[in-house]
Amino acid sequence: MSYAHPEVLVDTEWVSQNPPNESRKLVEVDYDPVNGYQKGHINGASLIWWKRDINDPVTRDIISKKQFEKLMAKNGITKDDEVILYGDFNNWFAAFVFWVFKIYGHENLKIMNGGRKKWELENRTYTTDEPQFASVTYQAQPPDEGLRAYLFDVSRALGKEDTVMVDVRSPAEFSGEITAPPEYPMEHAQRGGHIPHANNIPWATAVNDADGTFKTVEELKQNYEPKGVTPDKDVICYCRIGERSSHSWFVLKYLLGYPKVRNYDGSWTEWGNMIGNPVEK
Amino acid sequence: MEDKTKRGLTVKETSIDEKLNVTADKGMIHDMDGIGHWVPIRWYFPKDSFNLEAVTIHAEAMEKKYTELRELTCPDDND
Repeated sequence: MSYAHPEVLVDTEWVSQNPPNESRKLVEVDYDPVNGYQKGHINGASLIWWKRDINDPVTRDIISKKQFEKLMAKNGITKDDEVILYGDFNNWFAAFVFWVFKIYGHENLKIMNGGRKKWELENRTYTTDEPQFASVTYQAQPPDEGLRAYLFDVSRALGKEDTVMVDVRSPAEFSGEITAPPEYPMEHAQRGGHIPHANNIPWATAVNDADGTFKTVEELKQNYEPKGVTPDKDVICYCRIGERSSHSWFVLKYLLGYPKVRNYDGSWTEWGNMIGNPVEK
Repeated sequence: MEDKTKRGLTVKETSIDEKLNVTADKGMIHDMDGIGHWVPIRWYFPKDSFNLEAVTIHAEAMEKKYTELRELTCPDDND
């Protein structure tokens, strides 16, 4: 059985055989571009730096429609371009950017399965040359808020039988043993634990450990359905800052074809810091 | 010598810490922008080149650095 939307995935071999051109853009999305893109990237790929480019520089929020249009112009992307995203950290941030592209209505969008991890495992080449783009204009759609869950959506969903919460963090974060690993001292919350009644289905359970590629449809179904995460439910994914949950959002919405999946990008760094929010351990 | 503020951090490599010029276990910490920085977690001073006194000087320098940082963010009202 194939994925519900196989057109959203390309593999590393396809990317190596189909370089970027006038209507096909390759974009690396990094959390840490200094140790990623700047050291080397796939030939012809431009950079979207998760923190600097896709998030508002002052307010904690994704970029606005206008900022998104500017970002597309900077990367030489037009509305009808085929865009292939890949990145560091097992494509977590590439999936976040995929989610933002969908919020602003970009249609022809794909992820390179396995991201940098697989590309490097296959000893494929990188360059440090950065592509130059002619100035373009981009007209984005108004934001599709149906893809995003806000704090009030999550609060309202508490106890609702038709909504299921998927906490994709590690078991140690879910139980409240830690709020963030020591590598990420800026991502802690005042309280540890999880949103009441959430299911802990770590993002990593959706990928093959060896190369970071997505598991098969059968394996993915087996991963979610026995825990009550089924297509008839309103599904809300969350993690710590919303990037791992966008990876699981991508799996549920595009690989399994669930009709109603939202990413709660406020995630634990919002929920676990709010006064009075219920917390389960 | 160990930096206890780095406890729990995964050791990603063991190499020379150029500041102290001794072998050190190193991990990576990501800053506000997501950029990863290599940080030493523990240092291995060879006994044939360093005595306890010499190591203590480095330990006290580390202690001083953290005391100053603490004072900057949470000054002691009793002072």
